[in-house]
Amino acid sequence: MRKLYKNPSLSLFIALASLLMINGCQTGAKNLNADNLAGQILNTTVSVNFAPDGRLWRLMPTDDAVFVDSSADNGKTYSKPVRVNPVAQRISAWPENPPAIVVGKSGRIHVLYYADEQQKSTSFFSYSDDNGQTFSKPVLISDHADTARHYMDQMLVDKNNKVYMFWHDTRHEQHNSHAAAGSLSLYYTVTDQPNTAKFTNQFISDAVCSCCRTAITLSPEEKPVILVRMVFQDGARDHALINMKSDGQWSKPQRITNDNWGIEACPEHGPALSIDTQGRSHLTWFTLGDKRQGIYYARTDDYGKTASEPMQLGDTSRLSGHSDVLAVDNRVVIAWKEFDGNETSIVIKESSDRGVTWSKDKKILNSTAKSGYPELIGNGNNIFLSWTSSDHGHHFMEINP
Amino acid sequence: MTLKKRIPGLLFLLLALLNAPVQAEPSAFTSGSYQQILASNANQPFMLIIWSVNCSSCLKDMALLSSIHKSRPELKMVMLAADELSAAEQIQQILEKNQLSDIENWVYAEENTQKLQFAIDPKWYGELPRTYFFDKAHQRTGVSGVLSKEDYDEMFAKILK
Repeated sequence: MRKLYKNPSLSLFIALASLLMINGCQTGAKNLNADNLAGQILNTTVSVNFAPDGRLWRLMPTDDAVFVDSSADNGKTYSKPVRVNPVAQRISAWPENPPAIVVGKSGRIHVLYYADEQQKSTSFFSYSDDNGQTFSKPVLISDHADTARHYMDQMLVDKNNKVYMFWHDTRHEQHNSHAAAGSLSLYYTVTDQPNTAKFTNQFISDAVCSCCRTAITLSPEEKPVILVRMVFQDGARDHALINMKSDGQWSKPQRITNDNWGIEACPEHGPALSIDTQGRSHLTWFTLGDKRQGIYYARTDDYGKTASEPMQLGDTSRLSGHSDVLAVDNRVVIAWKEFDGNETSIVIKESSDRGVTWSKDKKILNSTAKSGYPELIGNGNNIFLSWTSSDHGHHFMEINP
Repeated sequence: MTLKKRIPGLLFLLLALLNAPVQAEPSAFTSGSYQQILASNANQPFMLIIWSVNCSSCLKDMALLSSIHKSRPELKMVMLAADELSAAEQIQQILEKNQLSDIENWVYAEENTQKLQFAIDPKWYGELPRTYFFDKAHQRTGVSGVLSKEDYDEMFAKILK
């Protein structure tokens, strides 16, 4: 079954490294708490979200299981982690492709994660109706799970407990030989009864860049808005906004970045989007186009028909990238990563007037080890940063104005 | 915890010392490996192709690389998989399928791959595929994305001058 390697030293190294990893998992399973789980987090990828009641929920993938815990004191202390998948699965997660956790008004905790089974990478859904004490048996979302990859998920729950799940799907790839490599389809499903495990798979758009996460959030009208890197007819990998109209149909993709990045490659560098209560979309993105190189911020009040002039973020000589943005009332915070060859820093910038004027850049965290991407979340009033590094574990801190 | 963290490092050092020169499967790429590649190719042009098992554009590029390797055996090709060591089996399968397993192949073998990436090129954001063309004096040109046969020929003309 397993291939034998001709180079004995590398094979031995892999075998011993695997042995150590397995040993680590077993230790964790026997005596599980937040501290020893932290050392097993897969690819420094932790997902967080606030419940409507203000409790912080955290989802942690490991090699063969995903775990959920929660905090009543904004991340100072956490509950005992609860395992979601009862049967071991080969969990798949990396910073560009994290699993998702969202808690609805009803208190139901929704979890979406990736695992490889017969197919490579598809998504499983599970929920808890008892405040995270137990989770439902994970079910597949894709109706093409046997043949198509399903990843780069996003999940939203609106005020009426309607659950939206979005993903990148390869099901049309084999039928469209003219499509650029690394371009696939964006799909979604929506249901107000996820417990029935009936997920009608619906198509939104093709020509989506496969390896870049898509950013999706709800508008003040409680409709999903999507910021996605697409592969346009001219070959450029620029971004478009797609919004769900009041009749439930999707708008045509509205191109909003024009950096002219004509490249057939996997940038693994998706955009970020946040919409404030007055309906202004704040977006950040990465490009290495002819016109611009680096990460940028812009705002639009009409879903991309018109937009502000892009503002460059960070120090490109330090590879500034992987930004996130969050707007709460008039405040907007942007966080991103920089790297100087040895140390990774998390840098933030802030606006108090809906993105018109901005503070200076401020470094707030650093690590010399492997690390994930910064994630900004809010509880309606305050803005928090979540970031995981393999030397310091999971950080969760408030960004004070 | 500290000891457990150190074991793979120590193990690695030990094995790196035992590591034979390049065989027919990926070697472990660690800090210093880039300089080692440069040193072992002193005074000769070569190209370094960085790819990943998760990069669909890279996989599309493989057939052409394979045909270049066959038609121009005199041109030194070095490949580096920007994946985790745990993907070694999958890497090897892809290389064998494309008849590229007999060339010099490497795979990232340190936890913080960003440091390895930076050591190769401090201006590279990590997009794949990434190809470097080195002339005899090791003046290099780095290109991101899938290349056409014409693109390769143009670069070969430059480095083989």
